[in-house]
Amino acid sequence: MDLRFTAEEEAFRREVRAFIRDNLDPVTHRKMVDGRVPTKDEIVAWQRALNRRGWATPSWPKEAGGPGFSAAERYIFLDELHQAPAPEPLSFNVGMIGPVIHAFGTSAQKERFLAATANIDIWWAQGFSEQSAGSDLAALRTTARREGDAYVVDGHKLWQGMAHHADWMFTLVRTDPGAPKRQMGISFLLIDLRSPGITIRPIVTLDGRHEVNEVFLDEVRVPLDCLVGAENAGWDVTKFLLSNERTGIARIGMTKHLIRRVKRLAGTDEAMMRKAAAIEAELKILEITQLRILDAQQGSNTPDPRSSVLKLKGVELRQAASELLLEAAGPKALEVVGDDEPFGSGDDEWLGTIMPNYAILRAASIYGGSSEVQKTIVAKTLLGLG
Amino acid sequence: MNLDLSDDQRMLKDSVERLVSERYPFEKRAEHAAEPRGFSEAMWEEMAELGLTALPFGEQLGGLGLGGVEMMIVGEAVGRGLLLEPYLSSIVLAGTAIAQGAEDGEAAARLSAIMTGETVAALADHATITASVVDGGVRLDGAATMVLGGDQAALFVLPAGNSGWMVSADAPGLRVRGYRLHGGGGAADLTLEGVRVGAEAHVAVQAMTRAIEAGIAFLAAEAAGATRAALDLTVGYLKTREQFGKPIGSNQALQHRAAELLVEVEQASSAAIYAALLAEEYDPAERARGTAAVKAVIGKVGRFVAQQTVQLHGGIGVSEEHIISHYFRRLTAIGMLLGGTDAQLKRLADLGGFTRPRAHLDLA
Repeated sequence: MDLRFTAEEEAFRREVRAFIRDNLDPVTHRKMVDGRVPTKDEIVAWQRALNRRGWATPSWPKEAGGPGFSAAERYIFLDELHQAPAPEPLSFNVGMIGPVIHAFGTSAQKERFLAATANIDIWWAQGFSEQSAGSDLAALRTTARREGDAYVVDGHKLWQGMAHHADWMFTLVRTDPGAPKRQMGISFLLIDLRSPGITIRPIVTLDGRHEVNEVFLDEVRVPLDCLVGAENAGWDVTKFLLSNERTGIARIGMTKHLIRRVKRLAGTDEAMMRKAAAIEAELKILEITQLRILDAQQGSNTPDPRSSVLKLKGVELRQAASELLLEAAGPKALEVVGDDEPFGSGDDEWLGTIMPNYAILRAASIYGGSSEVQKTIVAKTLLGLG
Repeated sequence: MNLDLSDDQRMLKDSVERLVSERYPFEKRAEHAAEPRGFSEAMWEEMAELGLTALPFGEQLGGLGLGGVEMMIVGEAVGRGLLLEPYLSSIVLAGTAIAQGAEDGEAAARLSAIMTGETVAALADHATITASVVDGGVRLDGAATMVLGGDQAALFVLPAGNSGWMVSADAPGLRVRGYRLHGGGGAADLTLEGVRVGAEAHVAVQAMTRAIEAGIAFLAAEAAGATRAALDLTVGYLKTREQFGKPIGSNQALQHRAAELLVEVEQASSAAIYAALLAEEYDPAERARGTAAVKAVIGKVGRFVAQQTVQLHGGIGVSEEHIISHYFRRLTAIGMLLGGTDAQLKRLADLGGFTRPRAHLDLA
């Protein structure tokens, strides 16, 4: 048994860190350190820098245009981004739709979308959730009916993260309302958001920011060649996408960054340091759990059901760290400061984002399968209960 | 990175698990506890015959020279089987201190009797003992409390000043008050008045630290074994126990509790692996931080698993006759021995934790 990375993997870690140091725009970096939200242009510029290096799509296999990282390299790469901190490759593009198009798309779709997706020439939005279809996604009501050379889509989608930046949306629609099982009547469509009949409205969240949206689709015509997979087989595509979303990255590096900030703000306060140590102890052990799952995944593409375990604990600790950072900042964190306020002097901790980020991080135990859904998955698949 | 066991390690695991399941069914445990020394002499002999008591000591000392992973394998089986034998106190704690801290000839002589099981040794982690140089040797005065395994020990390793000292249980001036512990095993309080030892009894202080670290790693393995066993039993119970005409495990509240338990049990397994591999870590500061984190986590996990597996068993969970109540006590004890959770977190905080306040990109 050996938990250490190989010399090559350690060298790769140094290479990634040096790349971030030399290529990440200083303003974007400062925003990430402060917990401010980078602009669309900043996110795109960073992704393109990664793309020039061949690293924009760390989870993609070589034949899809990815770097063909091993499980360990992928982990190291993302860990360095999280700790730097630098923006992750855009998850809608890289974590979600890219692998779907590679696995289920026609060769024309691959040709049309994969490279553009990696470079964010197309910014994707995710069109899954609806008012009555959250955890129970198969309850979705948005419909698509065939009319000549197109599907005509009608419905309402909720919680589209950064859809106001997006060019296209991958969308689940009901194509067969009479299917014997709800899951059997769903299709996976790619929709150009410039199509007539689309309205995108902002939803302001509890952090006071606009990051998510709702999307109204009113008689939107979508060409037939924008169907991914077979008609009415969209649920299989969705399961594939969601299982990729759960392939076990606990985002431990992000929590480490929060702990660093706690130490910078309250490094002399013994009680605070004790609380930080409590989180760090569990985080260190979670890192081992992460490596165990990684080790089991080496050379295999099937997601490990223990990834749910990782997500549950990872989110718990990240939320705890953000709560501790709020405590460390104290009531001064309540002052409302815009994300676009000028930067302070180099070494000041930026308090303006601490309360909003604490607030919005509550969503981490809701999206991507809420913690309650994860627990049900764990009980059923790993413990055989239910 | 490679987390597989080697073929030899897998064989060791099989044979230890077979020994525990064949020789140590739960129904026998109360009998073993009722034996004069509070554990099974026969089992202790078998552990020695299998070589388990020689496992961590170097070949030059007559041992097998195996490492942290092998100790973890033994610890998990000991935790699952709730063994009462003084393996932790005599082999892991006192044995490690002697093997790594005594002069080689002296260590080999002492360990030969420890490895056969004939001599049970014990190490004090909490003591206020002074050592003063007197003609021809050293004089020890003071007291030690809660010396694990001390109720049965013939040999003690005691910290005094910046050293450790080996002291025979029958040394003049040493008084031993032994007692049994909740959760199994025994301990002793010691008082020393003018106890004389020679230079050959000296144990290097770094070895005392290594012994505590090895002890915590062993407790982590025990916790991993005991929490996994307690969870397995509980999940089995949730599937078979019926109330209101259906298995209680069909209730979502209980399913979610079981899932929360699995999350924590996986953490215990990770803590055990991490601790096992820390034995090979060369930087003492990294070992100190890691050991503090391991002990803090198994303390927290152990308490949660102990409480919730009893809860999910309902009434039967609080009865002496059900094994779950014994896991409860052992896991509670594990959390409190060799430094409790709060003390470990204070230590980890004092050591600066794992992340430095400096920006990540500034690090080389």
